[in-house]
Amino acid sequence: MSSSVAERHSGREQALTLSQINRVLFVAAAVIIAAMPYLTNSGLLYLVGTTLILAVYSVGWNFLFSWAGLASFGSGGLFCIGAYVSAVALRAGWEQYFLLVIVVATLAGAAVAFLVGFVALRRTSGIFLAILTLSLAELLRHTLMHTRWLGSEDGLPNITRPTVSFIFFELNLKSGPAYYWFICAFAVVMLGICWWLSHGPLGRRLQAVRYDIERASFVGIDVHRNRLLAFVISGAVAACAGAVYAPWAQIVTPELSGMIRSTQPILFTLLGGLHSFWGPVVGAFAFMGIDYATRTLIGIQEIITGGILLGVILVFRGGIVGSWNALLARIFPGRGEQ
Amino acid sequence: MSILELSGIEKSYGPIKVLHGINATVEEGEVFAIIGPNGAGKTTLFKVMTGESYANAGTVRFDGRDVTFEPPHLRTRAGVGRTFQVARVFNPLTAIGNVIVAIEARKKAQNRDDNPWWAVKPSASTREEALHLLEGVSLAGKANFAATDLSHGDRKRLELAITLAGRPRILMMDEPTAGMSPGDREQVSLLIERIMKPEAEGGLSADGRKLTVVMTEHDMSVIFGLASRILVMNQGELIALGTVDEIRNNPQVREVYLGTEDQTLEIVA
Repeated sequence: MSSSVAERHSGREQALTLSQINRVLFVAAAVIIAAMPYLTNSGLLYLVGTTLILAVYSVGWNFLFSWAGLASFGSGGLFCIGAYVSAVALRAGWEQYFLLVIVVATLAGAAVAFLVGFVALRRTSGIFLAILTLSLAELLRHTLMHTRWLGSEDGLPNITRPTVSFIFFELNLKSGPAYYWFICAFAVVMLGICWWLSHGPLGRRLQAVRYDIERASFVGIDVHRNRLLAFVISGAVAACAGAVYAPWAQIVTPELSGMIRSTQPILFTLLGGLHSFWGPVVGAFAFMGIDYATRTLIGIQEIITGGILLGVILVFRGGIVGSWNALLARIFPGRGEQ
Repeated sequence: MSILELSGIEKSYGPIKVLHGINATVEEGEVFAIIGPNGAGKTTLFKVMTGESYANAGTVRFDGRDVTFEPPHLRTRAGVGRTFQVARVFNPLTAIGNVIVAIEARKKAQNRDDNPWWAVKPSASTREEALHLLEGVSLAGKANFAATDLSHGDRKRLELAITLAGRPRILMMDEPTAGMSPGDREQVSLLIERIMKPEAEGGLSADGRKLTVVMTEHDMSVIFGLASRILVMNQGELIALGTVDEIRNNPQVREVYLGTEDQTLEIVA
């Protein structure tokens, strides 16, 4: 199984030469993203940094969707939990332990996902799970809106970017570019972990469950346990992304748990490419591009965004990644062979 | 020694009672066939044995252990293998990918994972075993075909390879020759015979293991060629249980399958 399932679908590793083209593009994109502080103003830098965080968050969601075959519409709630944990800790002056704060926030997200998944996954999947997760996220949003010590509807402002203390040196993340590179490092680590999980034995087990749940249990796979594991991992990634987001935005509000945040990874994945590991990342940046290009067209911005999304879903089922690989294969026929 | 024991199995779907207290034991190493007309409850009995659905009353014992309410994945790990009437495989995966998933599941369940924790690709021994199993069912040449692209017969063979990857002690086959041409049916019969033979004699069964087969089947030539004992069902009840010859000469079985002589005469008249 030299080209494992996910790769077969994304088409990334389908062929040596075509995948080399993609690899070159990938490296170029990575270099541009890393060099962003030298290339743009702080406004655009903020946008790219946010997109990177959302890309990681969406990859976590897609791990649940494209690998385990479960659709959660409440991932924003977990993102929000991570963001609030991070915000509260930083405002309480724990900034030198920021890495630890991220770990705690991640664990908090994992724990909540475990509780929800433990109860919900045994009984529900499909549309029921979607509605259940959606309503839990809404419940969280409303609870936050009425919790005074968490700032009620206004949320928690003035979150300072931390100076992280290691034993021998200090890492100052106060400036925009410094924190931006911290986000880059975070994205590399999290995407690496997610890639490793989805392409290894766990990823294969989850896909087996998605392809045929009964056959999976009749090869001895514990369906419930593996789905729960995927749910927890996805929740942990969302909360981790939220924890990194809080000091970047410097404010957290209950809206983080709202519908928009929860549907973002779904839209990114649809636009970027279903069942593809890199799809949500590509989708996130494409979405950012569309948003940025249409930012002055107040009133019709949403119509343009919606129209593009509709077009992609109806015409290009494989999303950007799928269509791109199909296009490459057509332009360079024969290069797909190994 | 009996490997599977059914006692007083009852099963209802809503108000309709499908199984009315079935008692039977399957001996280790035999081919145990379940036959009966359509709607007799064969598949339901099968599902109760494999854990797809649970009995409303009665107990299922596997290897002396009560497994009546044990879910399929635990029964599979304990040594129950199962194939479906219409072959169920992981369609988008390659043939070898299908078998690798099954081998990895077995190794993980037995805590015998030979891959380091950080490894992404399946271990060399897993791949080797997968290829060996595909060779066993004559699919090695199609190892890298997506399962979707395989023919009906090949999919059945692939499903068998997936099931054997779990190293079952008992192989449960629901109509292994359903929807096949006469030639393919004979092939399946031969394959089942080979599976039961130990490796030393050119078979596929690991040395020192005795594989038991339980199957439902409509094709009498397959049944009479393979089965050591036959259980005949009609309308959710066991009407006969015995060797091939006993079943052949059982008047009640003849009645179920052929109708009574009077009825036949009436039809002819």
